Amino acid sequence: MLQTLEMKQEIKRLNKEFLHSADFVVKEIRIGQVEEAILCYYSSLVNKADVEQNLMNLRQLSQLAQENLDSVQNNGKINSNELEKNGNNAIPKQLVKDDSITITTEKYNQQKLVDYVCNGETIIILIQSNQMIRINNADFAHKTPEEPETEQIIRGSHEGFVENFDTNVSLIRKRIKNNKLVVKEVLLGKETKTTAYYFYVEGVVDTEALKTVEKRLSEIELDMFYSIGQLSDQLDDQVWSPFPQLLNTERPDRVVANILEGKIAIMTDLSPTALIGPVTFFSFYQTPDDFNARVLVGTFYRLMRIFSFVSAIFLPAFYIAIVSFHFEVLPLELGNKVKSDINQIPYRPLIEAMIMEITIELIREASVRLPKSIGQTIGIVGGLVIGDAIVSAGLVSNLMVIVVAFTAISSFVVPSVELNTSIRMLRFPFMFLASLFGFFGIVIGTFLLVIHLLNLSSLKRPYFSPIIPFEPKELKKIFLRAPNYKAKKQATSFSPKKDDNT
Amino acid sequence: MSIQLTKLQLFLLMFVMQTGFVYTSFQNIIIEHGNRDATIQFIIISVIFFLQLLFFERTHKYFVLNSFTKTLYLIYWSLYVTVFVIYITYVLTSWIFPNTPTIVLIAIFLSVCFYASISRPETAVNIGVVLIPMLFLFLVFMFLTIPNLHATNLLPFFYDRQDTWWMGFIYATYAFGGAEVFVVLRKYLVSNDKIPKKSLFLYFSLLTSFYLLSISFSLMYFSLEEIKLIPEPILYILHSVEVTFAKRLDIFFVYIWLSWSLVAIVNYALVMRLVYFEKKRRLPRLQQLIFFAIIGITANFLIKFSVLDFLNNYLVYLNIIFTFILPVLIIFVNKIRGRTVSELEKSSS
Amino acid sequence: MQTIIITGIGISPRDVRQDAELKVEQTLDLSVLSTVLISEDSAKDDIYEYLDGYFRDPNSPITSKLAIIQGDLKPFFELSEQKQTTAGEYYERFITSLEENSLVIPYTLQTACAILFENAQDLALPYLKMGEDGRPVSDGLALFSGRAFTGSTLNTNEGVMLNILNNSLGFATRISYLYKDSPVTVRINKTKRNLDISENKIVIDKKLELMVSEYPQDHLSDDIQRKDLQQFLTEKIEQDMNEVIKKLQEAKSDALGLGRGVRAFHPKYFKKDWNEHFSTMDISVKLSVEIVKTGILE
Repeated sequence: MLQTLEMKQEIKRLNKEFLHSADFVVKEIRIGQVEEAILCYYSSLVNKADVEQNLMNLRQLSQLAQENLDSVQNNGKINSNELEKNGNNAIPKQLVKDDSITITTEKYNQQKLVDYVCNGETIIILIQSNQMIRINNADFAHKTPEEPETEQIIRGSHEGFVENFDTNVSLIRKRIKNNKLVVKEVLLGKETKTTAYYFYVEGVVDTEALKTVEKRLSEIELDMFYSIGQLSDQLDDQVWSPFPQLLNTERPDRVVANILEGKIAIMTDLSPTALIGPVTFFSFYQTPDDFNARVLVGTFYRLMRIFSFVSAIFLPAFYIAIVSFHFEVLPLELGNKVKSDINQIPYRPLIEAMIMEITIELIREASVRLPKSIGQTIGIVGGLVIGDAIVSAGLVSNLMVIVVAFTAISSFVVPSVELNTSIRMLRFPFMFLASLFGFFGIVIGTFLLVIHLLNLSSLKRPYFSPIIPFEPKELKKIFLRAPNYKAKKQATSFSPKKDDNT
Repeated sequence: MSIQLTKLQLFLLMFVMQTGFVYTSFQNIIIEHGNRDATIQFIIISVIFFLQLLFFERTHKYFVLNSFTKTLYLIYWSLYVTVFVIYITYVLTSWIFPNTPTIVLIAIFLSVCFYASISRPETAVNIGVVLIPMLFLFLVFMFLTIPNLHATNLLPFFYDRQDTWWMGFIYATYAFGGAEVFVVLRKYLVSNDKIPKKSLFLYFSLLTSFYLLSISFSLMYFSLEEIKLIPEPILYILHSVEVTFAKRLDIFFVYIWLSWSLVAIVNYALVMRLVYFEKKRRLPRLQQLIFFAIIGITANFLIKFSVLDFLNNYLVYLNIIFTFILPVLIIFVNKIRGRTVSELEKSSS
Repeated sequence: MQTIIITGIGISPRDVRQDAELKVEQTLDLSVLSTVLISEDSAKDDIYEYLDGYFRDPNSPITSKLAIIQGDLKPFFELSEQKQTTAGEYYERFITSLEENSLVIPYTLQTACAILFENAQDLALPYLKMGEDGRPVSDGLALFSGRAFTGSTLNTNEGVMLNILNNSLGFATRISYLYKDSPVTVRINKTKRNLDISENKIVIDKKLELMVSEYPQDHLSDDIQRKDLQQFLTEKIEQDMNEVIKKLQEAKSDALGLGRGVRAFHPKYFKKDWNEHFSTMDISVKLSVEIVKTGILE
């Protein structure tokens, strides 16, 4: 037994340790008759009523325990040693009534105490026995599981993740009621001590990818961790690639569909976003809507989405190449119309396109930042007024407005926000190449793009599978949405192992 | 450096390398000599090469390159790639870019090839897949010309031959340039057991019919006298097709063919890398950069009609030596000596 | 839209273009070339000499239409000033509509060129003349022998016959006759051609399936009447066709490509100088006609 702690002194010390923070509560309490204790917690992280409730429960229990002891040992005196035993044995067993609260007792340790309190636990320090009781009833602020605004769907589940571990895990467990679903936890950030956790389904998971994830998570050496972007930078294979190599989603149904295919989902307490890997390029083009819609409809829209990739990247470049180099490919009637339209414009097609593209990008960026109520107005002002005025002012041709608008719409079809931004960025180099070399530039650009995509990997898995490595049988899964009853075999996303031997 | 190939990947590599740049040009020269017998001549030659492929499959383990034959092949392939570059640039300048300096064009597309060859080898192996949709597009374009074909142009066979008729046979071998890569790449196959004859036949009939299509369409579309004037008959056919959405399909085809040829260059570079970097060598990236730079600069000096005409007439003999005679010779010599690939690898490891 | 007509003088089409460039502030672009008109007199030489430049330049489209015109070229272009359209497009539509009605054999610059180089077939190009009211009128087909215009032409009705014989039917092919003092018009549904070739003789075995599109006497369901009409049409059409063949032979112009059949299947009968040989051969048409449809009336 160490020397007993001095009550007043300890309270002072604690206040100092927590830098007299306004929301730090430390006060003297009494448990049972003899035992003196200090209660401390961050009032911002716990519900005060809960604390009182717990305290009362604790008192009742210790009384109960004492009576039991009395009857067993016939000994009126309670010394601190016995209370310690009670603390270790009796209390935790019986106090756990509320599922959301766990109570444990352990030896008093000042450093640990800081950690626990910062984690939102309520700590009771028993002065005489040099013990502390941890009551974990943290109540971090988070929103309710509403549908994420960035990934809306028409039919299917409308739940979304929140910034809370338990809620998120329950959203997943609700969908996979199986003990094979594994959740592992790691702490990130030496100072911020953020919880990150990853899900996978044992037996289905791609074990090599899992090893990669674990290795990369363990290698993270950050002092401050505050956003999911940091995590994805650490997990990406190629950080400088414009293509996202992990799928970001806030939808539990999407996560579940993916981890059942053998992928791994990584989340943090800080944001409702889950990172899913290893993914392929085509994962970004799938949405739960496909599987909720009818087979033919789902297939059609999936094909439309893949077409949108092509039109979003190539259409402006293609148009620029045609009007500045290859006028003769246009059929006669169309050619005449285009020519007379373009002859009015003082600028080269590239400049014309840049004016429009930059306008669209500005409108987009503005409408993201603006409050919802003004956002629509900006859309109308930007889209209609500028679009109309810019044509009548003779800065941009009508056709260019059509092309740019079509491209903008195509780029928003992608169900993933990250890929959407990458694609919108990618079309600028193509426009430059097209204005320099026409179709030749586009072909060269496409080549570079394809080589880059082939070089990419997500958690060391080929990114462009199943096109590369070529799996003709898997192809239909990308372009078509197969009927659900046919999927008797467990779908795995990465059967090919041949590609990766570098 | 080493790679692993599946059967499909091997055939894809072969297909791209064998069609490559030859596809637009060789019809003209066969027909020039063989006249209407060109199709028959081509089929006879293809049967010979099919037998060769079967022979290769049976004896590929004896195909061991010593340092001398290795050097020979490396020089041959470099030459072949240089001819590629010359021809691609010539076509590009005459069909699309009459004014752009050739060195700019060469620099641009060779730097793409360079990027592909310093990437991981799987990229070079697999990049051919992206050509498959283009192939279908090309076939659709070609089928649009069907109403203008005269089937009677194919006949009669073996009638009214010229003195140089037999040269048609020789020039038909252009189509099979690159057949030697089969034995070079064969040892990298994942499961090193036999490739079934059925797959070989399937691959070969695909290749042959792809070529046959181009020869017979050229014959049926043009009159005999006309085709002798047209160095790129396929391009010319597409040049004269008009569809509702686009007036000049040939421009699209030039680019399909350009990507095709670029992939072929990348694949040849891959084969050369495999042979050259079998031993560990220093600064592989720099060496490749120098290789592409030399090829580009050499090619830039040779983009002339006369050079191309010369190459068109005589490259085929080099082709025959390196795709047909030399591999067979090497295999026989090693069979007599009893050296095989697997033994060599065992002793070196 | 305003159209300007520029004329140039030179030794070749390319040279003319060069000359015309001197008179405009822009560069002439031939990439949307839609029709090439060649005057009768020029066509009497080798017309390939005029066309080579178009084939050699990758930017010029070789799907343009080709026509031979009677007399001076200039009035044919002046029409674009009245018609609010470019002459090129006008003639392209004009010739396309002729093709649709099977009045002329459809040729583009490229397919025509293939025929010019082919000694087993000869060209027959649309022949246009200027009408009295200043509108261009189709006047049948200009027959070529080898690479030169022979000077003889087929009229529009003969043009239709040529198309039927050539199996190059357009969208609608109609022929009218007077049958028992009232008109009868039939539309050709389907044609078949079979050549029966011997050394100096070709019999064209022709089968036609017809649809009656005008027949005021009605009652075609009557077997006897229909057979009678069939018999009448067979004789009439066969007679017309034979006349067309005779004209072709006189002009030494194998516009039907009979030579292709001879060369492919009977190469020993195929003479190097096919045009001469063609004109001396005994060629006849043997026709059989069947009425398969009568429209929505009987």
